Amino acid sequence: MQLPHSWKTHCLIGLLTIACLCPPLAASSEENSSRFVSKHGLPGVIVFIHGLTGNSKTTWGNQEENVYWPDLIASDSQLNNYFDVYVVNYLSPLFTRAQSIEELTTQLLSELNDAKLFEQYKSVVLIAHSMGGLVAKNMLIKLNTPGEVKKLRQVKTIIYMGTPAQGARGAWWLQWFSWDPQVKDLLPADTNTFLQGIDNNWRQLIDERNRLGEMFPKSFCAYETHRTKGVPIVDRTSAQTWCDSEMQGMPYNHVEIVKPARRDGDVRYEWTRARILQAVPVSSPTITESVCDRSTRIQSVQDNLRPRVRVSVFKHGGSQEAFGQVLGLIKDRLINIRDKLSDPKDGERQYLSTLTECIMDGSLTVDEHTRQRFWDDTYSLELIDGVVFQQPSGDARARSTIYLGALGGNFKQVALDIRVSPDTFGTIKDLYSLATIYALLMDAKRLQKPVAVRLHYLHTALTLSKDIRSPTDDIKQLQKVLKEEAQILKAKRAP
Amino acid sequence: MRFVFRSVLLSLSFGFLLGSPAIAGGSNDLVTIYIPAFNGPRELGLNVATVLNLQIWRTLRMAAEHKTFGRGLVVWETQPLTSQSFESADELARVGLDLSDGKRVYPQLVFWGNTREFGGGIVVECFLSIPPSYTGNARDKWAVTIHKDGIDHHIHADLPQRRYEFSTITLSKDLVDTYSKPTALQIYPTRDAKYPIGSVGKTYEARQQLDGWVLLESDGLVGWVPLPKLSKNRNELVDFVGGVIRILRSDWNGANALFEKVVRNAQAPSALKVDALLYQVMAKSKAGQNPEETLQLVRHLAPFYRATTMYSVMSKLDAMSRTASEGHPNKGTKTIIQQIETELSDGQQLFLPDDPWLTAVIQLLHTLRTG
Repeated sequence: MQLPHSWKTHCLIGLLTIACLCPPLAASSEENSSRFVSKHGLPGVIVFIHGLTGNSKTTWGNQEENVYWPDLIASDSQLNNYFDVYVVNYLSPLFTRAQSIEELTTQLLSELNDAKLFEQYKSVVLIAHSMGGLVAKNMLIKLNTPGEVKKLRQVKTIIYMGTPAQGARGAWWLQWFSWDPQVKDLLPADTNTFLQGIDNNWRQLIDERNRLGEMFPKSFCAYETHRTKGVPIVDRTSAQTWCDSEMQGMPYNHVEIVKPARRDGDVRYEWTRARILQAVPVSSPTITESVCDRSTRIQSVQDNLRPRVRVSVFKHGGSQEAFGQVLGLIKDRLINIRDKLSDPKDGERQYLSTLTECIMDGSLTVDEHTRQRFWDDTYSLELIDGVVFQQPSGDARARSTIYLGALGGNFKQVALDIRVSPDTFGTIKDLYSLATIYALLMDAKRLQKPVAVRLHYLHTALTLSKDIRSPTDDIKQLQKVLKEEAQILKAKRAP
Repeated sequence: MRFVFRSVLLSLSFGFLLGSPAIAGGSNDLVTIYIPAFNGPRELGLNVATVLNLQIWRTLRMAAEHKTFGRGLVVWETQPLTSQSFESADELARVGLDLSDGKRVYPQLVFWGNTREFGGGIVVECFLSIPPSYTGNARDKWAVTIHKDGIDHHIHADLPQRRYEFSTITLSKDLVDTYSKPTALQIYPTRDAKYPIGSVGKTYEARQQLDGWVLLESDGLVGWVPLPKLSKNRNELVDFVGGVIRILRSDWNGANALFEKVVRNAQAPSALKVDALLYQVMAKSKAGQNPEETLQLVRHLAPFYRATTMYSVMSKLDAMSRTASEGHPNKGTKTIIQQIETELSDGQQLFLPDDPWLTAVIQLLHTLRTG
């Protein structure tokens, strides 16, 4: 091992690092435990994970401004209608014996499982400081198994704040003074096989995510540009890892980087909030106002008596060319459905002629809460959300969800997962058609349209459903619902 | 059968197939079908449409015992529809087509489609529009006349549907490679000749068919063209379109035979099978056969389909009309009226209250009862 050139300098770095990383003040034991800062049964949760020598209170608190970051989020109207807030606490002494990062990872995972975070919340956002980022990253790697991958996808984003993905130089000296194995785990990556392993596995996880056309987890990285008491703790080189956007340099030191003073005008807070919303666009005004005209939105009770005609198609990730082919199919399908159901005898021509006006390309989170809101706000008939990705074999595969909102009753969405090939063209076409005609049928029911019109749609859907070979569970369920609907209408037909 | 290339001022002779160019004359067996090139990669779309065009043409011989193909006109266009939709196909039929010889025709059928890149291959989508008759020709309806107390009562039932979609054809790579070339359809001097003498141009006149070959004349060349199968499985579209053409020409036995092939085709979409059965009900009724067995099948397959009720009632009215024309005006009338009333009672909710067909039938039943 090559020793540093100047013994004195590096001793100084080690001691200063100790000074930097020591927690300023001990907080009360209650505050120093893992806990919910806000809990209202919302669809998402933001989890704060502190780093070496930190705790759930002091790490995130700005004493000068008397501001606590988790509280800022809990009272942020852009986030607090969607996210609860949870802070993690674990023991991380500087000198005494504690758990290794590997052990902390297992503990964190158990804690989140015990707190039923993955059961209660559809969307999980992780904000991690320093070594906490390594613990969180290691946890996500452990979730990347067939049995746990669902939880992994629930983690919409991880935000690394000053996380030493490539290790911290100060740890080299700290190891001589500390019994805490966490310190050794933070040694520079060029001599640290533990960090090398984590970083390699992380890249593999991201590669797999991209290859499968999955959106989540996303990751964003920030590092400090200021030294801490003259010492660089986690600079750009140290923080380097796979991130979904350019790494963000912040004009703060390693301690200040996670102590925003306010919500507005503070880059630490604003950048983090923007990244959360980038992964989970919980409020959709920017989307709703940028597509179609606003007349589709409900302004009055009478508006609610209009037929739903809007179909929105969202794309996220995957192969552009293959998606374009599927999108072309969907667009043509809607025109075709409009034309085929537009029997002037039914008086439905004008109604259906507007069906295709609101097709759009764009992106929307797969999160159901957001979909529900978007579906409501835009008075949609259905939202089609999907991705087409290339498999290792070279084949393309389409994974799509057709969201029917309240129209579907208990059957809110149809999930499709199918190989994209010339042989499956007819099946894909039929599946999209069937879901759309079903949505039209249910909207006709909602609007109490004449039974003749509903029977016309029902007949079309039932006939089409007979042609779907190897139906998925969703399609079987849809076929069952159609038959039930037929029974209801049949009863109405009885004299 | 004559093929006309619309974009060029050209009037082809009909030879023994047509005899007279009196297109708009309204002769009984005249059917005009418009087949624009399919949308998609240029030569591929054109050639695929040509092959399908010729395959449909081969079904047009009026009946096995006849050597004639009857009167018909295929309007052939090298450009695809500007907008790939049923609406635009119908609009085109409404406006009419100006032929190169200055005549205007109103096609009863528009057969159109797409060749589309999908999932690493090429698929072909085919559609058939049967536009409403804008020229007052009511041959695209099931018409029955009931004579009562010196008055003729006419009942017209519309076709089951006017917009059809066929199962997708997947083209093999070999076919795509072959049919992407402008010279794909080659003309041979005889059916066993080794070398071609040229290829099918933009205009052609088909004369004869034999064992998968078509004898035609194109750009002065006369010879045989082999018609390939576009898909491994027999596609139902040729039989279905051929069947509809025969219905429009009142070739009931011919129509029945072609629709039977559709019904028996495992690949055919259910919606097409249901309508094929209904056309069979119509054809059998018109041919004086009992369609009840076929009707049972349709009732089972499509219990919520308005056309099922309509065609069931129409078959009964047709039977009543036929019995009357055979000199037994009252034979079984009471029973038939009761059957129709039951049928309408069961299926009433399938119709909007002001449905013209339903109104006319109820009125007729009232007349028959009171009379």
